[in-house]
Amino acid sequence: MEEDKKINSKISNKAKPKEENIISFLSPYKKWIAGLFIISFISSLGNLLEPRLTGQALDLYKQNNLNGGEVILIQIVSIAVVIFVITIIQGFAVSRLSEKVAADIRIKMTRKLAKQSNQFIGQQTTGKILSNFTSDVKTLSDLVSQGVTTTFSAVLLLVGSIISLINLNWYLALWVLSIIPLIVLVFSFIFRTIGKLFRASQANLDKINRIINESIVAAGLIRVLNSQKSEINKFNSASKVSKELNLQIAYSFAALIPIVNFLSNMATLAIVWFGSNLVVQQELSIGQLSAFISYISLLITPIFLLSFISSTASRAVVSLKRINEITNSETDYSTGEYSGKIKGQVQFKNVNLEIKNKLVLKDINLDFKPNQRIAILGPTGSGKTQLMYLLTALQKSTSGQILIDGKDISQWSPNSLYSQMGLVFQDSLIFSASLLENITLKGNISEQELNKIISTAQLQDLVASLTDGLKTIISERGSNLSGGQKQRLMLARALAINPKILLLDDFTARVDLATEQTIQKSLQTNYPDLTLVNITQKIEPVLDYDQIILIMEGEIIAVGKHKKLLESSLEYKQIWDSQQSTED
Amino acid sequence: MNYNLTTQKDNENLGLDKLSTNWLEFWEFLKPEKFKLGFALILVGLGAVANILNPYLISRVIDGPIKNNNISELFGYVLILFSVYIVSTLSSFFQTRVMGAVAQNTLFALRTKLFGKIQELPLAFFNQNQSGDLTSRINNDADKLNQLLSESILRFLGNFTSVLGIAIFILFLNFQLALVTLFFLIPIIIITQIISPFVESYSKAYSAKLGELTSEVQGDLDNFRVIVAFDRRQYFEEKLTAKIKEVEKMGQRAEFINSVFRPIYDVISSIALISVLGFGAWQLQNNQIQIGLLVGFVAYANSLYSPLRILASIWGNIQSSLGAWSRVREILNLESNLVILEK
Repeated sequence: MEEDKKINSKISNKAKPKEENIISFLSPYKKWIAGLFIISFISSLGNLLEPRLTGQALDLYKQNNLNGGEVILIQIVSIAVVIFVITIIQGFAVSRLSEKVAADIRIKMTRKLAKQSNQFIGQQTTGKILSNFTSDVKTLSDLVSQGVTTTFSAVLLLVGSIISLINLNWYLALWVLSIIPLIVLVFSFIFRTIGKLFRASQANLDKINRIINESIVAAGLIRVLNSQKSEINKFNSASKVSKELNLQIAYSFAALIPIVNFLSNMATLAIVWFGSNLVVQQELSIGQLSAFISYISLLITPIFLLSFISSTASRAVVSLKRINEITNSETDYSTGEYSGKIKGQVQFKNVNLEIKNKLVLKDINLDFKPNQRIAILGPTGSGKTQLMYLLTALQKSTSGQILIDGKDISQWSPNSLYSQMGLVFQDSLIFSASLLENITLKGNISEQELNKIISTAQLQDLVASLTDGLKTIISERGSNLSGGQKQRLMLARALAINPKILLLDDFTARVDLATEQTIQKSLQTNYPDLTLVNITQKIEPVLDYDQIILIMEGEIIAVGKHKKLLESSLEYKQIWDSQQSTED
Repeated sequence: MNYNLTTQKDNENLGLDKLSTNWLEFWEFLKPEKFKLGFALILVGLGAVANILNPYLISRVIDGPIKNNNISELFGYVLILFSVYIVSTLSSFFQTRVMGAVAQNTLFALRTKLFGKIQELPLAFFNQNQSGDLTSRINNDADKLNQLLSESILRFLGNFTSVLGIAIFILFLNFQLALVTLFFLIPIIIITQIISPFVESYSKAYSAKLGELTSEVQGDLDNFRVIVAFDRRQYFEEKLTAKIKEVEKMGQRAEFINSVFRPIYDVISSIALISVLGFGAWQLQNNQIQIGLLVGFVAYANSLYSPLRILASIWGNIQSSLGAWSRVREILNLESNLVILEK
């Protein structure tokens, strides 16, 4: 609970869009990081002491003094035990912290997404948000968990071994330390090359993700069109680019490690040459020479670690930026505050809608009265669905006014609006959850109400046929249901909120005429106060409606009842005639 | 036909015998690269020899020129050391290059095969599986295999040959002290055997949970219109948050189990070092060993057990690659009743 509050306050701080950087991102984990620092400090100290103690033991042996040796051995054992305990604790802390960071970011994104508009999700794309939830989160949690501890112990080891080297023999130490600037130079050169390649490779990965996603979502269409070959080609060419880029990255890395190792070997060689001379001159003991050689490897490791951390950090900066696109986004969904009972009047006044610089709907004027049944008729791509999105504030109009009960739609509170407006989408949008949960979406509903909904949507046979009834789990894309069943499930979901306005988008496409007529009849008896807007391509089911609106290429061509339209509109008559002939 | 990947029987815990057939199938992808692999192997061997010679040469310096106050001999040793370092540098450079190429070629072949396979499968497959899970298998799991090939295998082999080479070499140098040095490999191997199955099963469970989260996010975002239009934003938030917390819990367990390898190896290697020093002292007293060789043995004990530490961390990666490979395999092994027509 307390954690929740913390995250909440973090989000409310974000109200003014301030770009979050790595430092401010890390600040909530100050205490954890401090703890890890202490842990790293102790274990690095232990690691630094070991070569020195070993060297001392060897020197004592050389003087045939074995008693002192035992004391040193006991010291080494106790250091080993301390390091053991500390590393176990470190492993525990790091695993907790890294997953906590991952969960925090994910929850933060979820909270923000929950406040976003449908358009925002569309702009960001599911694919991008998915990689925000997976790979971007992983880079950031890696940075916190591994990055922080590794940086600490690397810096401590680096400083510690430099001090130890100078302390042992400053003259030899200078030879070893002279390679450090060279190593830094090599690293900065190679990492600059890799950085560019890495960004290109990441962008290409997004592309591959998109292709995979499309091929899954459109699996049915691809199989119908038998276009697998072209999908495979598309995928392979992106995959080839990724291969080339990664190859270049691998080649750059191939140079890095050997060069650095070579430099450290040269330092060893210098130690052997000059050190041996010092030993002969009795200015250095053999144990010290051995310790010196051990410290060289202790010195090189942190340099490697730091360079890898710097590449993790630069990746983390990119990931954080991508995540910020969500967490720092301004919520643009309607925040109107008016709430009241909807009577059911809907008006469009000179409404235009432009999407991607294309005028999708032109100068739309409509007037639906309460309790009317209205059909919006038009061919595919005529803008019918966009009209419905406007009517439900899923889409904002470019200009003009949409009024519900005389009040602009943006003034209505989303809560009040959506609790009285039922939508049946054209495509079946099903969650991986039980049938019941898919209908009620976790809302409260009485048994009696539920039965009314199920009978209205003609789902009683389906429910009876399932072994677990309403508790049966339906998969993501609703594979265990037929097209018509899914469509009726969508209807049941819309009815579950007991709507005052019901919108059906192409409901007739997948439900047969007989069922459709039964549903329409029970809708009229069970929900008599409903304003019904039925978007359709077929005239037959809407013959007796109060208004039929014919829309073509984003413009209203004709409005009226069936009989009137047959006489007044040539286009309407053509559609009617063509549908008559196909039905026979 | 059953195309549901999560209910496939194969998905259950993999025994060790299964493991070998598992990797045998993976070998099919590596086969075209076998000459490059052979070349890399030779380079790995060369590098290991260079690594093994290094401490020995240094101990010879101590017992030779230094002990005898004969600095003129030293120059010869320095020359030999220098050439050893050159060999080690060149072999490590070409190893990484060759294996990088092997990894990328194999990954490309694997991805192509996987994507092709998915295109071959009938619609029922897509209805029975969640798309987030599939994306994760093609991308994340294939990427783990990439890491396995380009880094893990090479480092594993390099360190493994070093350990093996050092073990054999020191047996010839001083048999008794070598036995003391090597003895501690036994507990390390036993402990690894005990912990690894846990690591594998936890890492698999974690991947599965992560897959669930991915498909949950994907499903909800694809259905976002419903969430908006039915004002179920809170439901969306609560549902995802619960999943995220589940992933967090599972991840913490998986990561912790994976982290215990290192401290165990460290403590055993310290015990080994102490034993070498203690036994070496006794041998010194009895004039069975010279001080330079003991210095060499200390270096060997370090370079025997520090690769083990690396092996342990790579072992973790290999374990999770195993999980990744079995998830990829589940797709590749599905039989399809759909025929793709050539266009």
